[in-house]
Amino acid sequence: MPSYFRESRNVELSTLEFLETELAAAWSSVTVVKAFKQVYSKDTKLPIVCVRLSDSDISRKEIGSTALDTIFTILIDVFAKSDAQRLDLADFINQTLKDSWDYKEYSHVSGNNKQIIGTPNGKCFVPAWGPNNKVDAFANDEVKDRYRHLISIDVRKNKY
Amino acid sequence: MATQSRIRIIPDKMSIKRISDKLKKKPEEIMMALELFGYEVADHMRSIITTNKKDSNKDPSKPTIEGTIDVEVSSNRTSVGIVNVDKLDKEVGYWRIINDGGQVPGIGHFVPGGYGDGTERPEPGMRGGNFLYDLSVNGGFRVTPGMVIPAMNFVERTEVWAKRRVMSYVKAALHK
Repeated sequence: MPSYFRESRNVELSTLEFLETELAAAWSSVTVVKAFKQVYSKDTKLPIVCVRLSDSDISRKEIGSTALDTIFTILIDVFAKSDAQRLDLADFINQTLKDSWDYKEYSHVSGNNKQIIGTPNGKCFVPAWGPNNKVDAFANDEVKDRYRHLISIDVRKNKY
Repeated sequence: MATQSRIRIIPDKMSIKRISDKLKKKPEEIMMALELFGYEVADHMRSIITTNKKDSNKDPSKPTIEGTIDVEVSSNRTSVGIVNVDKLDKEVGYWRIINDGGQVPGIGHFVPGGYGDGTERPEPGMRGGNFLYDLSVNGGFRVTPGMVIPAMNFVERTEVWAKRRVMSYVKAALHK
């Protein structure tokens, strides 16, 4: 029997998959990853975009209601080859995210834990943007830290 | 003394006046509310750090990031600041790598010697032998820390949280 992912992971993976598709269509060789460890792997080449869910803010939809209203904070780190590329990639991502994208429910393929499939069931949208700035990553000779940018967005799941 | 904060609540004088007129409160009362909000924001930032940190500080005499975070009200009481960057840089200089993440910066040590196959650093799985420590060898192997620290982003996460909190206060006030 396939195992189903819960809402937080679904939002994170839906955003990651959406950005991966959009970046592949408009840019060449941008790697999209989910963890910092993958960013610094020798095999991952710049430019890199790291998408991760950091927080979920949960509240009741209405007083007395059992339905929850969750706002997810997604952090998107851009690791670019140059300052110009950093700005262009950040702008592209912000422009791409202003429209909604599919919220997918992911599950493991039956009998195969390494493969996941997503089934669209609603939309994700950004009600608000958080900090969107250059990351001055300390005095570091690590090439991947030279041109970094951080985008943070609030994401809400909609039924439609 | 001028303070440099990453998160600063700076309402201009006109806004304070407008808010105080609207709420029929004195400007000082509005500033007091903002100051209290500043403490709430600082508490939230501290809780992000304490719940996410991997290694607790075993030496109580050493300063911690969460212990260095404080709230500062400007002398003319017109703004509230959380996180004094100068103070963090001075007392807990490593805060940036905890916040921004990255590969641990470090030059590493140079170990003279070589491998049995004559290479300085053989490919993993293709080793030609064990590393032989040899002081007479002009060359060798540089050991660099390869540890990756994931970004905690406690500053940015707090900023998002504070903004959301302000919006919920505004919404609540509008629905009164």
